[in-house]
Amino acid sequence: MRIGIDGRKIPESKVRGPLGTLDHAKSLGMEGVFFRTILDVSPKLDKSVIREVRQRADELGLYLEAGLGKVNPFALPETPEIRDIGDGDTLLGFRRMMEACAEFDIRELWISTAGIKQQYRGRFTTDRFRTDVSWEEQLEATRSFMMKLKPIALDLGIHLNLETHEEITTFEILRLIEAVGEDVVGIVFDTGNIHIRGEHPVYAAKRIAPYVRQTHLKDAYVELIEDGAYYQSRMIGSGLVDFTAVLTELNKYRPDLNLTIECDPPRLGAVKGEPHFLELYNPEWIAGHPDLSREEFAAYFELVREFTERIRNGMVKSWQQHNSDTFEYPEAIQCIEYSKQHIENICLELGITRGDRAHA
Amino acid sequence: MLENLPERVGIFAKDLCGSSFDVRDSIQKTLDHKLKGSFIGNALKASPTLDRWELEDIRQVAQESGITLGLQLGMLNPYRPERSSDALKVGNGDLAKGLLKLTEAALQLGQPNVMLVVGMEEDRFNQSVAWSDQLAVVSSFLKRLEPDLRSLGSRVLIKTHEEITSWEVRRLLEGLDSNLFGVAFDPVNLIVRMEDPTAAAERLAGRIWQVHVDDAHLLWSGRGYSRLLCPVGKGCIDWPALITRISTSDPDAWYWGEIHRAELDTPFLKEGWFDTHPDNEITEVATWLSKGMPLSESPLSLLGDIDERIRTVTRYLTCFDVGLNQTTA
Repeated sequence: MRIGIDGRKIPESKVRGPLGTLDHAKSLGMEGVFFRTILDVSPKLDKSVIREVRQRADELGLYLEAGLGKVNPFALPETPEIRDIGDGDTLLGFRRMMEACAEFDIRELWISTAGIKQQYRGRFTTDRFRTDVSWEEQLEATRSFMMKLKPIALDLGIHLNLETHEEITTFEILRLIEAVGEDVVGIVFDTGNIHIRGEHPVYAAKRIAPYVRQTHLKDAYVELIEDGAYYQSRMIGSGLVDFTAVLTELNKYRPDLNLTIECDPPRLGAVKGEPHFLELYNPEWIAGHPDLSREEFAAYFELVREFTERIRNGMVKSWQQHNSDTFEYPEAIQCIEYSKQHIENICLELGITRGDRAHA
Repeated sequence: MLENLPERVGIFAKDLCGSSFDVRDSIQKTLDHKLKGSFIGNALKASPTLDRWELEDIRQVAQESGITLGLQLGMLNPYRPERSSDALKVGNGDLAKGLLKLTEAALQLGQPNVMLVVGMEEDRFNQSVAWSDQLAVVSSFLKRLEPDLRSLGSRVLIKTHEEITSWEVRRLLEGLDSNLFGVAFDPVNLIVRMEDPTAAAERLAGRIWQVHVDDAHLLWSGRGYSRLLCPVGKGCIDWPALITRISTSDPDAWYWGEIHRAELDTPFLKEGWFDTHPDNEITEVATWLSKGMPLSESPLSLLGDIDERIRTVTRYLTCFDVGLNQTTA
């Protein structure tokens, strides 16, 4: 396994640009960069730029991953750049991005189903509970659109990897894989987001491990409050995720998996707001998770309960303390280094082959 | 404040007067507390020989005092006959006959509704005989009582006791004549079975003839919740909501203060736990979880301050001070 970093959230990614970001990542001891979409590498799919990025990554010995965008047609209007790159033809936009990736041997590609809506509290923070179009309809439209991408992916030898994004459950992703085909669909395992859907990280890892082809590793803070819970992403090793158990599962199926740290970017002076409120006890919220079993919900509850005790005992920083801490460039770098060290230690403990040796 | 306050209110005599009470004393003491009913247990408490004159004498004392006597039959799980020793003795070894004799004696004491408890929590987890098999036997047993109950004009109230869920009670009732069987609704037991009492009242609406008034917290036990009994109004039972619900669907129900004493756990983290509760849907489990105190310390005793509980339930039943609930932690 190699340990790399999110190309969008690594500090100063915008100012440094993709090439500078690769250098930056290397200087931080990273073994790869996972750019969110290929348009982050080159907004116009300029092949000379992508080629340069590929070459620099190779020179630095970094893995290079990227992605496409949302494959939920109801959410696609939120990222007009995808339709733009197809000159108004969304499918063509995807084809062009996929071809550009494949040409430079980037064949594991991130996709997702929606964007977060942090301006809304509770269940409306994600598109799962949209009232204009049901989640089932969105999933069906997603499946249908992915079927259109399938022949292109097959032709180019690409895997479209659905992120365990805030709005979707691992159960639903598994069904999409079944419907579209595991020959073209995989998973980007985000180890934080699943908590928003009431999923236990180890249960989720066991379910999806055979299909995980990319990762967004982060830790989670989930605190029980009177009418539900608060979720906040946290530095790896400082939250409630048992990464030893998670990596054990992932290593069973893909010992050469790239482990991408999705760190919090520097806040640049912005004030961090109230955490994501999870309506865990609301019957409507529960009804919106038809795959969630009582056993997993109970295990999740215990995980969160125990973590909340640690918060109360002062062993874990509360979200208020966390928000009031300074988090700028130096802290973000410390966070990356700590995260990397935490994963390194677990790999060592588990005997996971690290670096390029896993790819031999 | 609640509208339509229940008027049929009483208390278990063992709680008001101690376990070795005299029925006549309990009638007086109930009267002193401005309550209208004294739940004395089975009819043997009024007359150890079920002597009709003795029973009649007590009925008259109660009637003249304006006190209704509450009565029960004891337990009925044919797989555990030793728990029905009173009924077996009265029936000379014939359990059905004994239960009917106790029912008839209750009628002589002026009470056509008699409470019946199916079993104890251990029955649900009996590895030798499946709980569903035990319930099936109980069901067919009760079915056989129907002709006699009909001719007596009595009704058996199945208690939502510690071992049984409201879904199971409802299924028992579905197979029985609704004129002859009903429910003794006991919410502090329902919470041990992971039920939301208000949802359970919904499920059993129209069949509830008596309600058992007590309260409890659900505290963290290390592997689930434990029931910590407490004064009514201070726990997680939403009594104003329950009374409002039940008084709409079952306006004739009696409300009996009962000071529970069983120390019960709901270890839902135990492997296979949910398999033993097939009816509890996740939505209600989530509601139930929300009523607990997951960050609490495990208490040494789960019974709370029994004297304070007795004082509070007596006060509650005479004034239904809904403000009590606002002290819930």
